[in-house]
Amino acid sequence: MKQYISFLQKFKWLIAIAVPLTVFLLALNLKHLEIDGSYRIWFEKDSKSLTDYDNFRADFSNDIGVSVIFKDENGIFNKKALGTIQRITDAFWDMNHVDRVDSITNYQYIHSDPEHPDDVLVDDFIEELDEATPEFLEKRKEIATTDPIVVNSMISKDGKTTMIFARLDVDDKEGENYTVEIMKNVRAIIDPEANKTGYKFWLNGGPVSTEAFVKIAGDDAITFTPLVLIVAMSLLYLLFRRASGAIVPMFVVLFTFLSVLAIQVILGYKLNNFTANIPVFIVAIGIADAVHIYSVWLTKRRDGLGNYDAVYESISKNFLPILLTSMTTIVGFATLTLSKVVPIATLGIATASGAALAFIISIVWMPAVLLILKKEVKPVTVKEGTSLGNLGYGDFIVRHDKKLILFFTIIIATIGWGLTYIKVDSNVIRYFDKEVEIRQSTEFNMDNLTGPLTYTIIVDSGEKNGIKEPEYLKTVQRFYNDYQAAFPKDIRHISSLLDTIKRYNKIVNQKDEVPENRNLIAQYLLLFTSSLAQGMEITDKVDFYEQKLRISVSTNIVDTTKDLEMIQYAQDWWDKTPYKATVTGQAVMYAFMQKDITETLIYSLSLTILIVSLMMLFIFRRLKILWILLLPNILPVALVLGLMGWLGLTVDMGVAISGAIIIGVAVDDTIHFLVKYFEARKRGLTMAETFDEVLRYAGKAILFTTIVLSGAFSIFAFSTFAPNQNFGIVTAAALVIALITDLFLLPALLSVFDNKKAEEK
Amino acid sequence: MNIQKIALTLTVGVALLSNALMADDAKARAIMEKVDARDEGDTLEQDLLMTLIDSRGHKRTRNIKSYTKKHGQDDYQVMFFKSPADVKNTAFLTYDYKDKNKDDDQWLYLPALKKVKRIPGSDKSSSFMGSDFSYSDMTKTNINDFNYKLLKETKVRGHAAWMIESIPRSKKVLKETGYTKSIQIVRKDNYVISRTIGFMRGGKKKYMDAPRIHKQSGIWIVDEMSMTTKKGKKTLHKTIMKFSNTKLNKPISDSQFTTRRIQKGL
Repeated sequence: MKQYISFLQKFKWLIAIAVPLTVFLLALNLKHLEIDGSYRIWFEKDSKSLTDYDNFRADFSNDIGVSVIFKDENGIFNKKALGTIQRITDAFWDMNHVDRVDSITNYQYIHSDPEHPDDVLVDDFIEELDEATPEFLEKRKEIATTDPIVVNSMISKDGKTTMIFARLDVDDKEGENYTVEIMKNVRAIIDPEANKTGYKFWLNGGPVSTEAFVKIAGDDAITFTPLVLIVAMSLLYLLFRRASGAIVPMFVVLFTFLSVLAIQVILGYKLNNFTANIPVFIVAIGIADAVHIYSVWLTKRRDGLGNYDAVYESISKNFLPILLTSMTTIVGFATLTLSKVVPIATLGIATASGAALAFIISIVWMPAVLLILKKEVKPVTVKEGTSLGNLGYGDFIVRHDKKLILFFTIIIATIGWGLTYIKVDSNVIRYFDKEVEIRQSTEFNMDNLTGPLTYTIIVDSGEKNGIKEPEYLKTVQRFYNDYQAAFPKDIRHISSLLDTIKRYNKIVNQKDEVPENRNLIAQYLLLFTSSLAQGMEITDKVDFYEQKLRISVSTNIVDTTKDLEMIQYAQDWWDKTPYKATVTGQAVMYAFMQKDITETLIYSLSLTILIVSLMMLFIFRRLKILWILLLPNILPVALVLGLMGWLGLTVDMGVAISGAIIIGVAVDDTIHFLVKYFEARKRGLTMAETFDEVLRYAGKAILFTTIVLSGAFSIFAFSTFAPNQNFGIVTAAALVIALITDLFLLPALLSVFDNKKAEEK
Repeated sequence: MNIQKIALTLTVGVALLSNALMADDAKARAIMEKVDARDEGDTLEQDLLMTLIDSRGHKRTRNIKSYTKKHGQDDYQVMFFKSPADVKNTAFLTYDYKDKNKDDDQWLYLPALKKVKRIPGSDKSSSFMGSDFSYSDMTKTNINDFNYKLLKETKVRGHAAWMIESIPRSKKVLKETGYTKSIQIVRKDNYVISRTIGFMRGGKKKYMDAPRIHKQSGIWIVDEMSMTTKKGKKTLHKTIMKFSNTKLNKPISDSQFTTRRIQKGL
């Protein structure tokens, strides 16, 4: 260690300059930083969710598009509202990337003329608006609001709210660079309409959501990263009362996350809502190392030691615990790479390497800089009387150890019970805060029109042309009825080609039911495909070979558990038929992600705990009290989750990853505590003296890191992305719990269980 | 109507008018007049094999028997489906009137119901039997509906040809054809349109190609043509039509083109 410090002393200037320079050069790559807001980022390339979805879209049309919803309190069957719909529909058709546009005005209305009963007409529902009389419009309203094909999907039952949907022909597998262009074009159409008509247009759909994700990720990264740094710096300054105490640790984390981000860019990763927070995570895991080094250095300097000796003391006292804490942190984050939720895995790799880098920078660059610092530190002698070591902390712990343990046991049992109420939510729309436009838009849709989410059920008849079998279509009809009846509140609309076939049978044959004759069904389809306006083909409802049918189910936003129940119902229902069904669509994919999130949380936590246990055992070699060493690390996570259960908060992605961070930081605290504890015990100090010394050398740094980190993470409560909010609040709360358990429960347990051992000996 | 509206109407009107007058190119129009005047025979009986192909190369076929007859200025056509089996004997009867103000008449016979249904006012831009061709692709357009422009002289399959751009003169025509603009390649030797590119709203394009034609009794007959719908470089779907057993100018009675006749099948 002496050699190492003298090596640093010799090359301090070189190191102090070379490290920032390297970081700067790496950081030049950051100008290529991009954000990916696609739904695809959450899923593994060969996951069943993605392959099912892509297969469906290869067989049928794309289901990605932009929807516009608006409400006219007087009902939309007036010239103003219908004219607006026609204009928007028309303008959307001319937009680049648009495959087709559906609205109530161009709805392909199949009907007959009472005066010519042998005519079959397929027309745009509203065509010559200029010639429309009030009676005509009233009649149209009556038809639309009773037509099961459009009511509760394209128009509300009360005839006041309507939707225009522009389907896109983009290939999102190649990235979503088209989003910006599409949103610009959409706004260029919608904004003037809004000014002109006074309607509030609610936008939704793929590009809208992607845009929101990108915007929030960008905002969060741009707002919160500097904010977290500033808050952390201010807190450090307040605690150390020295500029270097704020600046040096800040540079350690700054260098670390700039390097990690730059490496991500070089490797071709794009940021997303999750990885946009890498800087903040690295602040969390990197700052502790620096604070511990600085804290001991400052204490020694205040004790009157020379600068060189203070650096030496600090590094030699801290090297082992910092190495150990870095290793446990790396392990904690590395376990996230097992997650099937891709952004979580990416985050795991980035933060694990960040932890390693932070260690290296703390142990190489930081002492070099401290060695350069010239400013004198006044020895503080008066402090003796008031310093933490003399608060009677050790005495207090030893005297009340059993009471403390009892107190904690009661608290733990009570809060822990909340774990049984835990719910996992992967419903992405709820990941947006209530104030975010897309969330409001979705809820407006749900409150006024239809179910904003869509399950797509592809039913394979098993043979080419099989969808034309009456038996097959009757089964689809039964499914409609059963599904609707099973979930009357949350299933708002079901549609498929069945509706069209039945409509033909009603118009041509006066029977509102599935035709009994396969040839008739085939002939209706031929008639229909020959009557459709350009671009209104039925390829979105049936595959090319007429073997598979697509059923679209509009559902409300519900708890993920309910989503899964509804999906399972559909799957089970079809499993009992001769036909094979696949339930897919983005809503379904996100619901299935619940399992991945839960597994992430469980696997990552248990693996971290296991590895940390082994490391603790290896480091301290105390098998009998291993549980005491582990308890302060597991408790914060358990207690926070328990609290969430009690408070009815749902576990989302943000919470799923906070587990690893919490354990990472909690373990750091514990290790710093224990290294100093065992060292003091070895020197033969009494229990009370030991605790006082631990508090003096580790307690301050533990306290400081907790204050800095929980202060910094609390800022995330202001994010508009719920996983970030939850992550911030949960982590901040858990770190405080970790501090309390480390400073009170841990010593109390040691006092009871470790002390007796010593006495027996 | 306020002043602004009047001004706007005038401007638009003048713009349209000048557009109609200026964009037209006499030479191109003269060529298209010859294309329009080309003798196509009085009656035509053909077997049509229609192959529908999707973006992944999957194929489906339909066999159709077609009869057409000139009836004064109008065209009568009847088509009987021979396959697939589930639509066998389904028949379409169409009266295509020269008079612009008169909608075409179309009837369909559904053998499964044994009923004839009239399909009035159906959109000309709509798909022809679910193929990439629209009804307007299959029928002669009125040359007074378009502005023509000779783009350049070119070659098609070794034959000298003209490349002519046509732009619809009104929104109504645009809606009927489904094209905002199209480009035709007309062979100089016989005035047959060998290729066209139709530009659709939203950026799709339709490519027509007639690779095989033959001359029979002095009249050029298309033996094969295809229509490919593309977006950028990506083919969305394609239809190939192959004609065979062509019988030109064989007398066909008017009674062949009645709703009563189509109920009887082939």
